[in-house]
Amino acid sequence: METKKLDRWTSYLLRNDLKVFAFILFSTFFLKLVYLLGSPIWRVAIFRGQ
Amino acid sequence: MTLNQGGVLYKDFGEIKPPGIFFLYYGILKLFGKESIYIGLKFLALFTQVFSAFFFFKSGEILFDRKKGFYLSMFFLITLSLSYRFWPPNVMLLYFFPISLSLYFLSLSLKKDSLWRYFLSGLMMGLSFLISTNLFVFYLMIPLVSWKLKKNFKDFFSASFFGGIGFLIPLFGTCVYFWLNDALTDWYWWNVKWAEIYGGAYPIWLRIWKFFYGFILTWPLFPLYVHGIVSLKKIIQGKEYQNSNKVFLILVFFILSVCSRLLLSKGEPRYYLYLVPGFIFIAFHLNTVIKIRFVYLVSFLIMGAGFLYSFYFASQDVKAVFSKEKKEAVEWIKLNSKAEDKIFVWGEGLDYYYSTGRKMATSFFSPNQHLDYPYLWEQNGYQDIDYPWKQFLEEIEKDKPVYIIDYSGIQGDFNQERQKSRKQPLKYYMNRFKNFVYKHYEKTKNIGTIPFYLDIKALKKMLRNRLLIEDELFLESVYQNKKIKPDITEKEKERIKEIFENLGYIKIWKKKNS
Repeated sequence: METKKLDRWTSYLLRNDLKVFAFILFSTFFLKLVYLLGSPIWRVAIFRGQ
Repeated sequence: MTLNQGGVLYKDFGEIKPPGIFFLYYGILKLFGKESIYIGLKFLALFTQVFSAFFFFKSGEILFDRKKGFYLSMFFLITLSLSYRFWPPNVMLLYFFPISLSLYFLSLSLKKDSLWRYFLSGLMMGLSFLISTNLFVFYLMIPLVSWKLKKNFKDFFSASFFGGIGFLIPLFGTCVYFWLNDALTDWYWWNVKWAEIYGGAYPIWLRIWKFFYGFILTWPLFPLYVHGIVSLKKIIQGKEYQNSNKVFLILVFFILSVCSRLLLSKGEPRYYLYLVPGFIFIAFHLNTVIKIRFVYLVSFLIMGAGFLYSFYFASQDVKAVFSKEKKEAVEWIKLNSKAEDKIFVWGEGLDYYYSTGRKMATSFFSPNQHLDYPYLWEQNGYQDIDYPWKQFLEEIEKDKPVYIIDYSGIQGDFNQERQKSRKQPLKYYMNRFKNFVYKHYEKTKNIGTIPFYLDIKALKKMLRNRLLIEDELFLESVYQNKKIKPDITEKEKERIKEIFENLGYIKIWKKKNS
């Protein structure tokens, strides 16, 4: 069931290159965001009030 | 920075890396300005990752199918996040963009043969060669693929020729730049001669060991390596490359990726980025669905652990960026010098030159690596040592920097600790440099203190002959007492701090008024 859903979703995404490109861009941002949220910049800003 | 100050690459700034990365960084500096350069570099990294992933998707679409190509590009992005050592926008990350395009054009030529595609593929390879020298091996993809596709020698020759022209265009443009700036000899020294010396410093057995050791250091990629090797075995055993041009291209791409990594002697984890695309493509060729769920589970766990570890480590690694001492030294230099003054850093000086905005005296930003490297020179039998040293001594006497910053830390003045391993003629040149400093400069400031939380015995060993006898005796007594009573008293701490403060961590030498 889950595989079917994933397949349907992937087929929709793969309809044109622009969608794929947008998804790649989003994924890269997301992966960077995960890091950024844990990065010292935020910790320093939030917890040390600097 | 050198380019921004009107300098010429390799003439005013020497480094083993080919010119591509410097031009890219210069472009970012121009676009984003000095204050926001780090944001610009992050954008550059992001741009590279997104476009490379997209063109790997397009290549995967041709070599496998659209869906597999998409998963391949996603996997590529995840792979880059598995080790925090992959993240900085260094040459290993930036080469992905031209090489992904190059592979794409070559994959297109499998669909429909065209000399333009070979040309464009070669052009992209030429650009990646300007980013990282070891990537020249990728050019071999063109003759090998065209040989596989072509029926006669004429066609094979014209494909290789057109690809070769494309490959040489960026190189030719660079040659013209250096020729116009009268820096061809300097370029030759840094990118050819010095690359030979630096690259050949390690014996073969050590290089092989470092090659395999790097696989351990990049353990989160272990599932990828295993899948890649299993797939390789399958391709070779089944001789699949004989019947399929696609498999042939994947195999060639994989082999050349490994070769490009093997050309480098160190086992740095970031070097394994050279292997990533080759391994991903060959691993995705593995059609046999692995039935054992356990394999997937283990792969997922290893990669997940790598991701979390990288995430945790990167969030902890803040102190390494800019130390308190370095910051103090930078502020002091800025306050005590004029904007047009030149400074010289003994050690890795990039941060100082960049942060102070002062010009770099000489073309040697890393004398520890480029000049005073006893192991390297000894391995090379001191061949060609005269050229950089004569150049350096000439340049420093001509430039006469206002300050010389000695960043040797606990290693003593100008890496005194290395003195015993310096042999002739390195010893001779080093003494000439030190004599120059002692004659024309005086020590004007000590910044920071040697971290006294280090083991006292190790410190004492490190600092012998540079301590006053009473200080040495004091340290010895503390060390002996520590065996009985592990804690150091506040008074003892103060005294230790005082001893090391006098020695200094960053030493600044000022030009004497003459």
